[in-house]
Amino acid sequence: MSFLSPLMEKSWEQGAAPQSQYLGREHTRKAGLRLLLTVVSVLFFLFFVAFLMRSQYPDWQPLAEEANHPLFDKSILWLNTIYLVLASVCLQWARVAGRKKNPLGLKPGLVLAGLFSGAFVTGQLMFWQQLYQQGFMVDSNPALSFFYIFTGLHATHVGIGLLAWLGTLAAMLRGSAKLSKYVELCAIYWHFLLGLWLVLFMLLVSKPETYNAIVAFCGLGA
Amino acid sequence: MEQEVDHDMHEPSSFFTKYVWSQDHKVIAIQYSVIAILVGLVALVLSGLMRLQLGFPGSFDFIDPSAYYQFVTMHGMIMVIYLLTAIFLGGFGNYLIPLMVGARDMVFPFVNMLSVWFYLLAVIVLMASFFVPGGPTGAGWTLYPPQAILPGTPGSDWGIILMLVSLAIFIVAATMGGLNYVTTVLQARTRGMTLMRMPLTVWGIFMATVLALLAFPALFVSAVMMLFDKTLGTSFFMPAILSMGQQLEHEGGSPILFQHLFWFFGHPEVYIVALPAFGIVSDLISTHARKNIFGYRLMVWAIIAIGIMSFVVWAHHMYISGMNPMFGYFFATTTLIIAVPTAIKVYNWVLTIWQGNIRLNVPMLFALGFVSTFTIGGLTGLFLGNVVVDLPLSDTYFVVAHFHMVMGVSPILVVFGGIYHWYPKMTGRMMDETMGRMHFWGTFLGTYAIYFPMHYLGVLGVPRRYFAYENYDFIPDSAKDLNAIISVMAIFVALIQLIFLFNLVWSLFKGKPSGDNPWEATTLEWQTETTPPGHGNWGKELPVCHRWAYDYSVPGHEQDYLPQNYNEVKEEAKL
Repeated sequence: MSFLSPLMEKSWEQGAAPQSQYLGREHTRKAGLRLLLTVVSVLFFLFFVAFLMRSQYPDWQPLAEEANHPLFDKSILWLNTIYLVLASVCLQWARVAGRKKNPLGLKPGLVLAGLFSGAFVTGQLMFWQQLYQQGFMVDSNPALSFFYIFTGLHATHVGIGLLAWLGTLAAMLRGSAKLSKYVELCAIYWHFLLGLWLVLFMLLVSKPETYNAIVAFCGLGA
Repeated sequence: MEQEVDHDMHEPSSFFTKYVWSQDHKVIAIQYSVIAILVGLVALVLSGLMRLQLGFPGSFDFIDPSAYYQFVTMHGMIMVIYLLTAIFLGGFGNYLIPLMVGARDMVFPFVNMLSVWFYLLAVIVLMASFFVPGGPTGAGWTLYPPQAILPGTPGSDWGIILMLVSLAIFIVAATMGGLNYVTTVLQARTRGMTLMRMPLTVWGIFMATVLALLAFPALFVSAVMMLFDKTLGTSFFMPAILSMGQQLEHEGGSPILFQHLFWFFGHPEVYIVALPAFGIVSDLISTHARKNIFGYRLMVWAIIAIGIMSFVVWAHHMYISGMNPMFGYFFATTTLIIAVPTAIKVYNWVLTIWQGNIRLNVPMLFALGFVSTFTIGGLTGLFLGNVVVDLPLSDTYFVVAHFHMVMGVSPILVVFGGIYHWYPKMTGRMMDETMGRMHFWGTFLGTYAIYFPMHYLGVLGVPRRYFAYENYDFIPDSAKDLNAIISVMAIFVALIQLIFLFNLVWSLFKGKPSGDNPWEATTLEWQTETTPPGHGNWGKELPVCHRWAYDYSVPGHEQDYLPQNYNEVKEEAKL
């Protein structure tokens, strides 16, 4: 319980010599980013709870059980998942190269990651268009409404990431000495994006029995 | 020092970069506070209009039932979110955190600047709803569906949409600010400033910000989903419903789901407002009683405990919503448990005052006023926390009295106390003492005169949220007289605030020069080289923290206070 020990300090007693509390700018940036991702996690967690609670009402229709369900054909979604995995892998590649001060991996990794992420967002929009053409609108059924909110917010989240990526790209073109530090932050953000997408994807295509089991286990049903 | 390396020390030179597009936390704090006070004045006027109707029903033609509900809704929402949350976190948090922990600025100044501009945008969108067809929403500040978005509720066309959009923008602003406050406290403290040497003000604002970061997403989720229900015809919260004789397209949604999400935000929101007040009041009391705070560690632990507990009590707002009665049992228990750390804090304030060398100046008066109103308001919370007591009282004026005492009057007294206390640091001038005293006594006694009688109205069974009380046999005439008296007092208290506003502006030019440390306080913000502090707060070197924030009346020292950066070894060597 090391995080509790600072709270046990008897600060009114004469303390030791004043210690520096500062860990460096990179540390601060990382802490800020982790905090932001925590807030985003809470946001999506609450959406998931709302989704699960709503799934218990009688008008609920699953998304991917039968051939006429909107998410039965998941091929585009799987392709998009692969794009996002590749983006994450590329950034990890760039991150490791940056730590080893190897410029060969750093720049191509960063550029490719952005392109794959762009492909992901485009693919998601194409899937929306496909649903739209099949007549699956946002108000067609409650699970579908959640699908649009989830994928829309997640795409926005990727979009904000791409803004940061553009900034990093500009730093690369400027030849900034801090490039590897920025890539480090991008990598954390993208791994989170990927993890979040996998959870979303899993939740949306799960069977109704799975929802019922989770709801019963968490006591959300009442 | 090492901190200097990364920090951008270019001082802004043009008027715009210095005062408008400023990234300096002190300027941003003042921008936040000014916007919050202005929008708070709108809410104050709205409450006056409400009271005119309740005290003198039928005397004012322009207040029809729709207008009344719009006043109620906008008054509540503005006061809770756009005034109190914004001024405590955006105002006090921005100004005090970097100064009190010995930093040059917030860790992400650009994001901090974006925060205040998003806040302004949220306020503009909200104010715009007064000018759209149908006016602002009149759904009550809780915005419960289905009625919030159904025809028949005032502002159900435009008002509700603007309200939800404004809330979403506000949440983005609060998140951007919040990331800064938390990261600054965790990462940018100066040499020697351990967590347990931080003043309680910083602890209170820090914990409140953590709550805001975790609770506001719940409001965001419910706002987005309700916006979908309203504009795109989804059925997240909307059940199958007949409205004005017509079957609507919605079916199957759950209004209770909204209530859970709303109060998962709404209850921590109470503590987002209360915890900074707790922290500030601790520092005011300790400074002006010239005594160290009683039980510092317990004060910190209580802040943390209250923060954590505040996430498991939300459904005590929903006893009458028809949820599972077993939930009520659980939430009543947690609600009563949260009273324990809160009571610890009240005892510690009283024990700090005990045998202190009290300087009864204006900030101290407001601090003592807070302890009184908060205790009264908190006690009625214990009544309402029990399910069986809550059921008959829930829809009466008893609840109005309770929450106005505990989260309306109490925090606003601290806002005033804090402004009187830190105004000298922000401007270099003292606020006028006589006007301050008039403001305090008028506000303190006046608000008691408003809210104390409301408890009696509540116990009589006078229902809240009603536009008029004609033809209800169970409401005696005396209740109507009481309502008239309450309204007169409400107008009186509103007018008294003009003294405060005048004082605020007058003292800026005519106030007595304050010097660097007029209250002889120990915390770092009073030890800056210049007052008000310049860009970067400290001179060439950051201060070094040698002790906790409460070394008042230390035995063996001539001076009755030792600043946090007072180095005993060095000072003795000088002698």
